[in-house]
Amino acid sequence: MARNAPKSRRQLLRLTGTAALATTAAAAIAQDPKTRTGGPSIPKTGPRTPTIPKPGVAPITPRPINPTPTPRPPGPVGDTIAGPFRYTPFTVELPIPQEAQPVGIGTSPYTPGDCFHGIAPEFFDRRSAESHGLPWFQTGPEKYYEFRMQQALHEIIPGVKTPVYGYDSTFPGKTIRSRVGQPIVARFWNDLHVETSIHMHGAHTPSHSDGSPQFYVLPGRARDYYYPMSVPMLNGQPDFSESPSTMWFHDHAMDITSHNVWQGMCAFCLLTDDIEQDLIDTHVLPGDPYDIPLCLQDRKLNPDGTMAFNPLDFNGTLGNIWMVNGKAQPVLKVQRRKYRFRILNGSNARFMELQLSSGQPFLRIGKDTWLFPRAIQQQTMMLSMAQRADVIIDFTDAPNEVYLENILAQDSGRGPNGRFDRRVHQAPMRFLKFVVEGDPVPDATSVDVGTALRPHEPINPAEAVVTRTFDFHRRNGAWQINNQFFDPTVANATPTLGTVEKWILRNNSGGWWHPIHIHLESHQLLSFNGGPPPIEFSWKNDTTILDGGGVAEILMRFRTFKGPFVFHCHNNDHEDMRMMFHFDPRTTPTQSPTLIQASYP
Amino acid sequence: MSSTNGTHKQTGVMFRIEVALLLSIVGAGVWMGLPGCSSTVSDVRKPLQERPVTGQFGTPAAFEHLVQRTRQMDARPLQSSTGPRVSDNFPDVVLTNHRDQKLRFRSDLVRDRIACFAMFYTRCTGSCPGTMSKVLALRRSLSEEFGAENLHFVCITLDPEFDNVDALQKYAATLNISDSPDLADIHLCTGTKEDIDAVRRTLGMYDLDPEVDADRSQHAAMLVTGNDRFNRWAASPSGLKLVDLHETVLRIAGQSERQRFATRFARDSGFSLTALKEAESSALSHACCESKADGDSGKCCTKPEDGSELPKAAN
Repeated sequence: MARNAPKSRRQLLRLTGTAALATTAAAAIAQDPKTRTGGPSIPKTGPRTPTIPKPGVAPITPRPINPTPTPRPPGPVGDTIAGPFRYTPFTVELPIPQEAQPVGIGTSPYTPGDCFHGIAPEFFDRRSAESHGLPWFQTGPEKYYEFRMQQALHEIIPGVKTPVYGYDSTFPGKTIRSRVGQPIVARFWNDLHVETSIHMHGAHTPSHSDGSPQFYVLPGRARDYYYPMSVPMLNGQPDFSESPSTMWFHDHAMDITSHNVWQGMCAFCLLTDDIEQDLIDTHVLPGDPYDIPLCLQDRKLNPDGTMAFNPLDFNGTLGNIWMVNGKAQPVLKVQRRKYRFRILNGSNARFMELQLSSGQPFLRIGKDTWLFPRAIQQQTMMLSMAQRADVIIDFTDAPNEVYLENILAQDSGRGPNGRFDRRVHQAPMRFLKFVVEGDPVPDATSVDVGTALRPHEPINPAEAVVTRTFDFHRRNGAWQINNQFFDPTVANATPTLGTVEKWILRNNSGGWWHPIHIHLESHQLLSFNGGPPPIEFSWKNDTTILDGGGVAEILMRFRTFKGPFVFHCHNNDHEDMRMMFHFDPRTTPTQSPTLIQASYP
Repeated sequence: MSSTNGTHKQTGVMFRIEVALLLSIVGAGVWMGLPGCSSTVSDVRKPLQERPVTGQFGTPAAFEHLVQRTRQMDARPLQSSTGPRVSDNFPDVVLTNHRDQKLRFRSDLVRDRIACFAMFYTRCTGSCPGTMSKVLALRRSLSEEFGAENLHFVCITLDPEFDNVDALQKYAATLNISDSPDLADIHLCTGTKEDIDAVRRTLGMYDLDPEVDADRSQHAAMLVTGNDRFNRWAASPSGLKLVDLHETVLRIAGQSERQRFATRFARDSGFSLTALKEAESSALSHACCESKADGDSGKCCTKPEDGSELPKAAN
């Protein structure tokens, strides 16, 4: 019997040494794909008597990755205790992610056919991605980037080595800084043992380069992503109201997004167009080095220093370490002047409401990917996962120490305690300390409340040709949209390119919060929970918060690129449980649901 | 329309060559990466207008792309994970299956195994019948894929007070669960309330809301797949289509790059799970899809979309 063969092979193997066992077993598996891969055999028809004695309490044997785990000795009062570790907060300097350097400009450094998931440039074909008559805006030659997704050792807490995943082994990854209108080709090599998929969050990009959850980069392989870094057209002209400023790219692979992002796969992509460059050149907005990206995340560590991540927690992974740009509670020395910070909530499931300990308000100039039409003032800022806040902080009259802190109470992956308009606050959790040094320095930065930034093109609700409703439910422990599960081959909505649609997003999932992220284009809120949207939500969004019972009516244009694209909950664990739908813009009106029109495995 | 048919015929010939090559490679057992497979390179040197659009769902070009990619995928077994495993902290509680065998959760059901877990109870009239039919169908299709020895299915009752060994045995008889050696083991398990609760929470099949959690009719209808050797876990709603569940288990538990992703690629290119295998019987025109000129509503001609192409549960 086939069933007996592996058994005898195992008995044979038991007699050999451990090393020999491994090699022989591997060889055996290589020869016979049906060979048992491990585990004890359980007879199918056994006697009605216990065959295995009841065991005692099994010892749990942690296997430390650090040869000598280094929990620090108790420090002075005020130390932060994070699980088994204790550290003095605000002693490590805030790292500012390096800028990624292109490997070529204009001329491709690649040979056609040298990439397993080759899409761009050698396979890039606008016929497959672009709608007829809607060319995109391009000003410069392609820039070529190359990233290797690798594991690296990283110190989140001083002295504790934590294995992380990183784009080019850094956490967060290197920042892409570039210009709107200059396409980017990025080759991502996957040197990890898990599949990945890279999503440029906020980009107006063809379907094949959008990081759809099943368009993987397989382990050991590479994929080319083609980012036009363009703006869509409006009335025959490039729509510069849609020029992206603050994007980030992160993992988006099916089933494993939460794990991959938790392990560190995120990075910034900051672009400027002529309008924004002009604001910087004329000292309306601060430029480099006073323009600093801040990636705010919560993390948890195991006693051995590895990232604590439970793939079987489907509610939403929360941490207890407050981390900025990969370091627990760092410190940034600043001058007495205005700074621009691109604040990203890069957490898996942690919502944040941020404030400054000095009591001064933020001067907010943008939400998500885009600049506001005018600067506004906000005492606190609500940020869901994946949302960004582009802010100016003026340290001229600030006290010598200012903390950036989160005051939102959240106990589980369900979301913050309370409703959106009745949020529950708690004692501030400090992410970052600004040490304000010296006397006020000359600062020509003129931005102030009401300063005009980027023109906004409001969508007229009367333009909407279709209204679609999406109900987000929880049923039997799983997520559904409109009572349906995600199907990777089905286009759940097929908007016609060049048209406007009104979508009603309703959260009926019993108190859970879901930040809904819609790919491809910005969306504008018509109403939020039955009333006018808060001012910071009233322009362009790529991620909209649905609190428990929340409703958002949104308007969205569909331009330039045929689908499929996804929209989903950006609680990464919910996303992995397929709280996701496809929308698939078409050139001609199409009844949905139907099959997706393209796929790029 | 006639011109479309002509293209289909031409590419059909190309498929046959591709697939003949593909099958000869399978036959030789050398499923390793063949870098720069010639047709890919020659294709990309053609002017853009002459190249087939590879991304279009369910088209001959997509099928050709799929064949090429599958041919490049590595069939060598992947290495086991050497670091700490998720299962290190699993409780090793004892469960009893419907054949009255005592099984330790961590040591016997998880460690070094591929296992699919589901929660059910025999008196359930809600989600369980659907979940169980999926489990039984997967048992058939995955046993063929992995070999019956290499995986098992564990269904754990939420109603241990009623579901004793006898009740489980009756349920197994009702479901007509066969003990065929060609099929993977299936264990309908019961245990003490506390132990089952510990297992259920370990596998993430609970609700944060205590009221919902206590309401058995709202219990988690999920399939949790564990591949302890690679330390890889994932959960899928059991309401997903069978093809997607099958694909997910393969991706989580497959032993080689090819086993993990070939099916995924086939499904994503618009072909049924068995399209590649069906190609063997030269049913190429059968395997490819007809799509309208605008690329919309491409009709996959292979099998119905509801996943019914997979063999039915063992009876």
